Amino acid sequence: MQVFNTFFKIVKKQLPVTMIYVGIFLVLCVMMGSSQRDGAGSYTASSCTLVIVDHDKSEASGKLIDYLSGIHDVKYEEYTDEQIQDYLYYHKIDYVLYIEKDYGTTGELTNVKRPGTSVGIYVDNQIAMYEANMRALLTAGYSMEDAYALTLKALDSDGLVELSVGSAEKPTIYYYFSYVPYVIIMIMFFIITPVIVAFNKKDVNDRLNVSPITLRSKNMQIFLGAVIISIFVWILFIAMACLMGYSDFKDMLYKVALNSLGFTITGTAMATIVGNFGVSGDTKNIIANIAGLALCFLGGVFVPVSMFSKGMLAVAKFMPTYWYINTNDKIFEGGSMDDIAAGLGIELLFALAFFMVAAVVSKRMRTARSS
Amino acid sequence: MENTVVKIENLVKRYKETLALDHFNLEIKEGEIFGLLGPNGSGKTTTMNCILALLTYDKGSVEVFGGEMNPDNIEAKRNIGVVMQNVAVYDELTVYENIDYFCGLYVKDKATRKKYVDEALDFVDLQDFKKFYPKKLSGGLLRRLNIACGIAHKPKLIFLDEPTVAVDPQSRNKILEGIVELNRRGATIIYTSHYMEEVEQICTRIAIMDKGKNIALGTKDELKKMIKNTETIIIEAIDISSEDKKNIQALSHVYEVHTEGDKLTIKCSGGKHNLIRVLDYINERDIPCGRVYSELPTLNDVFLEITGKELRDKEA
Repeated sequence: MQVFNTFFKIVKKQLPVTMIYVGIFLVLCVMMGSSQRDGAGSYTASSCTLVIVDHDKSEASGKLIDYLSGIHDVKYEEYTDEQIQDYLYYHKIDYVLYIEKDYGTTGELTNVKRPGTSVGIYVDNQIAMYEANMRALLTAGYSMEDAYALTLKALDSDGLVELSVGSAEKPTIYYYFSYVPYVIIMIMFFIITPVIVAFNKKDVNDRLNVSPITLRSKNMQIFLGAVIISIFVWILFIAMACLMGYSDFKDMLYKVALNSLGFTITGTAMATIVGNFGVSGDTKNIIANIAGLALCFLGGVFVPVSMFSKGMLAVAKFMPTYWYINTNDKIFEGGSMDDIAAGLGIELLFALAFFMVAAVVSKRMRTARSS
Repeated sequence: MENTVVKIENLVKRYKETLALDHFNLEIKEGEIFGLLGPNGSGKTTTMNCILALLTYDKGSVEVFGGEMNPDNIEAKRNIGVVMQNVAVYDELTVYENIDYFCGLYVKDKATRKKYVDEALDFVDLQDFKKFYPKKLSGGLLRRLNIACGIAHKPKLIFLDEPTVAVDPQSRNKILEGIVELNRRGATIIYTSHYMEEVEQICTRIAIMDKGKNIALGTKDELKKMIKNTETIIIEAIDISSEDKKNIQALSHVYEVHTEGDKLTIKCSGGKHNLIRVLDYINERDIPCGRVYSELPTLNDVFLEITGKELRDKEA
């Protein structure tokens, strides 16, 4: 088992850089998970402090004030311009709306926003939506009361915001399993590829070929090493996930485990292809980074596929990462084994295809050398 | 009678349109240090790779230890050691680990292997560097490691493919001494090189190769006897007339006289006291000259006379 033992001696040399990737991944995972939960992933409409100065005092301006009062904290006190500037500066108010005279007919409004925030744009959007609805309904012949009632219904705040990143709150562990393909690809490129390259180096390989070790035995020992490394990496990531939040995914543990195992096998196969081309050193690092990032961006690891155009989606379907993410989403949406079987199968087909490509490349290289 | 270790018959190897080995024949006996000498591209490494079944060939046969050599001839492989032209070690393993790894491909028993690895380290004088990684070694030390990896398992037949290329003179001498020592311990050596001095120094029998053919075969003395030239006399800083040149040419056993700048080269075939005769003539005619010396033929002369070209490109 000399080849097998040496496999792990070479792997040992790659461990420091691999551990750096694992460490960075864990930190990013926690950070991304918490930011997604605190931010876009758990959106709630927030109210601002508004000052409304009504110069029109018409029924139309009254309805607008009513509408905004339903959403925001509206102050009706009379303020001097100086006071308004001070309050904006000290963040006591976010938005000042001036309803101009004849607003009912001209629709003219002016405003002053607290600088450096997006709150003003948020209020602008609400007013624009309200106005567009009201104008359309009034033009259609509705009375002011009916138009207002229908507008309120249409602008129900729950329906205003559609989050393309998924409206349901997801646990940190979801993001962990979403980003894990990237780190698995990188680890495999940094562990498996150098070993394959080392064993395929022409002169070293010639030494092996003149030794009593048969080609079959050598390949079996390398394969066995790769299998053990893959299983180890897979178990490592599942164990880390359990440490991070076992309770968040205990019901779906075997599903996420199967999904990540499928992808680990695919990652091993990809690294084997690169290794068989004899790529090492800086070239290997460049390929690892390009392949890792491309697969993750195009496969929906870093950018949700829901944001992809049709063309991009079509391309994504040729990436193993897409099928991993697709399956992962289904698992966290409560999908059954039947729901995820297809995705798992496609991942394994990718792995099989990659292994076959690696075998063909290896055979071609060998034949080229011996003829 | 000595056993035949390697027997090559009618071997033909083509690389597309290039004929690398042209009906090549060779027989190497047990206990020899056999030199394959030839210029770069003459087919030495191709011959070696065909013997080792690393290359397929178009025609002919190769036998090692009496059996047909092919990738599945495990028994033959057990007794073979190879020192590649390029350093063939793992950068990721230390000196000790590399030797242990390659030795372990042949020797399963750990205790025996440890003994063999230590002996190999002693043999190439790398004990002080056993924990070093190859990248930390100088060119000469790397070459020694390369040799240790090829011989640690005590093979009966050792192939050394230009093991001294890009090696400093001190390391080169150590390597050559080591090869002779391996042979003394019972190994048959097949040594390829384009350095004729090395081959002359250590090889018991030599095959001179050119364009994939075996153009001369024998001991160094036998090879030198194959050619006309037996002695070359060189006289430096000489001012000689064409008449004197003719007269020297007429001296007995002299067959060629030519000048190159102010250097006169006189080639002799057979005979004794050729140098004295030439010096007597110069003395008689009071011809002014500088250093005078005589050289015995080298393998380069053998190669030059057979092929009409130099064995080795003139080094800058």
